[in-house]
Formats: sequence, structure tokens, C-alpha cells
Amino acid sequence: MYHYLLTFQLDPASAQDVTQEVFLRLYSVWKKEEQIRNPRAWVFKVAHNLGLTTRKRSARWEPMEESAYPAGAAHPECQALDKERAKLIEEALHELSAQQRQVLHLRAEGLKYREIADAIGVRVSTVSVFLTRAVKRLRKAIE
Amino acid sequence: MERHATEEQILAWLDGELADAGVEAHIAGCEQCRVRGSDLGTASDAYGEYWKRRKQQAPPPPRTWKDASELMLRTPAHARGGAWMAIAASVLLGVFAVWRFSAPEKVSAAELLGKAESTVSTTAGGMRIEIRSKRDKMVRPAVWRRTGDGARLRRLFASANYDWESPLSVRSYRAWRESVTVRSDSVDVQPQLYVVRTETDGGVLREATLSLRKSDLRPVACHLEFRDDEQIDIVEAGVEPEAVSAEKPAGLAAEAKAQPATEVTASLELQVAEALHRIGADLGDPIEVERSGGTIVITATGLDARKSEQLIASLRIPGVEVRLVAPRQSEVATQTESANGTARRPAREWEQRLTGHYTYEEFADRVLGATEGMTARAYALKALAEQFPAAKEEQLSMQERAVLRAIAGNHVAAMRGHVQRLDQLAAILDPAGESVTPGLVGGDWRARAQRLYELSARTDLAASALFSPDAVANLAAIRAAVLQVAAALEEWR
Repeated sequence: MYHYLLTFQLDPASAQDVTQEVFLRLYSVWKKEEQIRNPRAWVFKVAHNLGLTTRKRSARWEPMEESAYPAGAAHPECQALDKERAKLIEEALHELSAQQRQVLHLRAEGLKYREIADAIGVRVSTVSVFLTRAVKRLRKAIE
Repeated sequence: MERHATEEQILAWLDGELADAGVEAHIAGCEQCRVRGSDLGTASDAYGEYWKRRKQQAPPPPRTWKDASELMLRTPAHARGGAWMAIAASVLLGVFAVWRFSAPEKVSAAELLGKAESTVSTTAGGMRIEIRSKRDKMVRPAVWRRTGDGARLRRLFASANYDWESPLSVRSYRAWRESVTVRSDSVDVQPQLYVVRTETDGGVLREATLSLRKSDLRPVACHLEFRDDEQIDIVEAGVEPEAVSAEKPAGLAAEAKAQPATEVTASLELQVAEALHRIGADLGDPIEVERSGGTIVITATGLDARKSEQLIASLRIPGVEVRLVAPRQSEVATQTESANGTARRPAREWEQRLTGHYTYEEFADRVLGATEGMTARAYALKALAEQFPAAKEEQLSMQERAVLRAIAGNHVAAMRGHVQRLDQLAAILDPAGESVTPGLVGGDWRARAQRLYELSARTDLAASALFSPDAVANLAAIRAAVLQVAAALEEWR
């Protein structure tokens, strides 16, 4: 959840606050014995809405510049290839719409299409279209 | 002509989100769609890896997670409660924290199986498997095209629509899974294994479990639970140690060695297919053909000396290597036991219909002979179609294409003979059978070969019901199945 909120360009402190707020709201709903059909989809939906609201009223946080592929024990040649690939993916991500990126992130978090649709307020078929466009763009980038 | 799946559908299929069984079946059987899926899957996986690493590298939360009671104090009044609420909230946050950071790895069954099928190459030559049920136990090659042995198990697999030739494979598991319209999947992630389980309410097979080794996604065990309480376990039984049989004719080992390797071309594959066809070794003999680097390796299990010599003499082709493997004693013994298990007497009414034609034993022999012949030809034809997809056929010269079509034509002609005999036999029991209008499959011979194989398998299964206690009730269905194959064969004229 925290990492998903970071993708809204929230600074880490705001992302952490929003994360805690989401779970308190969940607790509040449960305390009132209201039914939530799919808690996972519900928390991401609330996170999504709170994330958007918070971003509007706070300065955007620029994430660090380093690639998502930190140096590790891998072979230097593999590291170079990994970094190159990460750079290509990041460039491709910049060309996607915000919704396409969010759909990708949510799917990477393990949400089902129905849950993603509920979270970002679109239809399931739209999720499918967003995802396909995003993946095709990524494929073109890493070819 | 059947339409290919859209990219949305292929991606949904990779994600285990495709709800349309028809499209799913198409993708599973369409090489072109699977290749497109592989491309999308690669990009999708790359993003998954990127996202994982990005999370690892992301800045940690700057503060410790606040105690729930502190958070409750700043929440609106309507959401506040007493001390118990604070404790509950604390527990809740703790649970979420544990869930979030130590949640088990989530794996989609469809995606995992898709990856496994594209990752695992063909079964290694000489690999064997053990199949164990309550009544039978056998050790056999992992890929087995012999049609006459293990009859009870083979029929059980056929009735469940589960591939008998290669039961410990991702392809067979997926094919069965995709043939089931209502199903429930789960993936248990263990330290060394992914255990995929599929349950269904319909069909003969109610649950199947396939264990994939995590390191290379290779299937290592399969468990099948049938609706009649039969259970079957399939596990790897190692590679046959004797690469060349001690019982082989003298001098074969040296002759079996491959000539210096050349590039494996479509022409070379056709030469091998033609050589095997010429000696009838493409009709269910335990022979596996696979590429290994620049060589085609032929692994033959348990052939007698005459057939072994024939095989080696026919395959003196540069770039082709023949390996002869002896059968294990346990395999031979169990096969005999299983085959004998099918000889059951029919109902009296059934037997009366044969009066004036055949004794029961003669009739059974003829039916089994015709069925075996038909299924062996249908399988050989399907295997040929799979070995030479359209793209590979295009690499052949006109003359070579004619050879390929001639091999297919031979199988079809022989199949017609078997089906005709089977129809005559079935007509004795059900003279009222009506002719069937063929359902046209289309112009491509590969699609027609696949259709013939499916119909033959259905007929084989139906024919086996002739020997069940309620055979009389099934006579119309048996005759109808035979007539459907006959009708499908008409499309080849």
C-alpha cells in the first residue's frame, strides 16, 4: 500500500500517513459492522482516492534518480543489462497515462482485474484495455 | 476460419482472467496466439521484476508506524471508542503489517502453467515415469505412443480427457484444465515446489494436482482423483541407465552413432519421418524423436532385434542418432497384468446379437484390432501435423511437400479401412445406425488431422463400452461415434 502511494508522487511521510489513514477507515467501517465485499479492493480504492486528494494539495515529490535495479552481487554485465532494461521501462512508463501506470502497479501488487476496476473506478474491460496498451508499450521498449 | 484471440484476450489469459472458455481453448491450441502471448508475457514479467526491485529500493517510511491508540485520538469522534478499540486497532494494524510484509507469494495458476509450458522443453530421451493406482503400477517412458498396453489406465485417462501419451507434462495438465468449463485453481507455494491444484464439479476427473520444481518449472509429480474414488499418482522414475540395451544385436552400438552433426532442417526432419513411416515405426512403437543441438535423436525402448536392425538401417542419415533402450522387467510384467484385466464377458442380450456372425472372443478381437489400428493411424497423423506446422512445411521443396502429403494420405487411407471394419462390426449390434453428415473442419490438413484424432479417441472410448455390463444401452452411441469418424474421413477425399 505504502509503495503504491509513492507512485502518486507523494513524499514518503505523506504516503505513510495516507497508508495509516486507509487502515483506520477500514477499522471504522468494520466497527460499524458494515459489510465490505472485497476488503483488498476496498483498501486500494480508498488509498487511490486519498492518494489523488493528497497529491493535489501537496508538493510533488521527485523520486530518486537511481535505477530500480540496485547494484548487487550479480555479474557486472548482468547489472549493466538490468540497468539498461530498467531505464527503458522507466522511459516507457513516462509515456503511459497515469491510469495505465496505476493499473500496471495494482496488477503487480496482485489485484485482479475486477479489484483494479473497483479501485480506480473504471470498468473491467477498460482495465483490460489499459493493461494491454501498457504492456504493449513496455514490450516495444524492451525489444 | 477461426479468428485469433485479441491481445486483450491473450493478456487476460496470461493473467488467469479470461472468462471465455472458447477463446481459452483456441489460444491453447494456436501456436500463433501462444507466440504473441509469450511476447506479452515477457514484457509483463519484465515489469513485474522492475516493480519488485523498485519497491526494494524505495525509501522506507520515515517514521515508525504510529501506535493505534495515538491514531485513534486524532480520528473523528464518530470513529473513536474506548480502550478496547485502541487495542483492536493496534492488533488490526499489526495483522495488516504482517500480511503486507510476510504475505505468501501469490501465483496465478494459469500464468504459472503458461510459463512452465513455454519454459520446459521436450522430455529428455529415456526419461521414465511411474504410474500407480489402487490396482495397477507401471513404469514406462514419459512420452509413450504405444496404444495397446496399460489398457485400463489408458481408457480411464481417455474418459477423463487427460493425455495418456505424456501424462506427467504441463501440456497435458493444461489441456485437461482448459477442457473443463467450471473449475477452481489454487497454487501452494512450497520451499522447492509450486503445487497447482485444479478442482471441478463436472467430468470423470474431479481433481488434479501438478507439482512443478521451482528452479526450472519442470513437472515432477502429478496426482489425479477420479469421481469413482480411483486415485493415480505419477512421479518421475529416472532416466533409463542402459543407453543401449545389452540384448541388442551385436554391432548396433557403433552403427547407432550419429554421423557428424548437420543443421536440423525441415528436410532432415522429413527424412526421419519418412524413414520411420516406411518401416511402420510411426504407429505406436515406443519411439521418441527429439532435437538435441544439431542432431535428431531417436530413442527406441524395448524393440526386438529385428525391428532394431530395421530402425538403424533406415536411419543411416547424417545428423541422426539412434538410441536403443531395454524395457524394465517390472514394466513388462505389469503391462500384461493390466491388459488381461479388460477381458470381461458381455451381457447375455449383447452376446445373442452376435449369433451367426462371431463368437464373443472373435468379435472382441476384431473390434480391438480395428480400434487400435484406427487410433494408431490417427495419432500418427496428428503427430505428423504437429511436427510440420505450416511455417515448417513452407521450408520444404515442392517434392518434399508431396512426400509429406503422401505420408498423411497413407495414414488416412489405412484409417478408412479400419473404420470400415469397425463400422461393419458395430452394425451387427446396431443395424439401425444412421449416416452422419460430416461437420466440415476446413481446408488445413492439420486441423482435419486434429479433428480425426479427437473423433478416434472418442470412438476408442465408446468401443471400450462394448465390454461393459451396460453395453446394450450404449450401442447407438458407439455406432454414432464410428459413423462420425467415417464422415470426417470423407473430408479427405
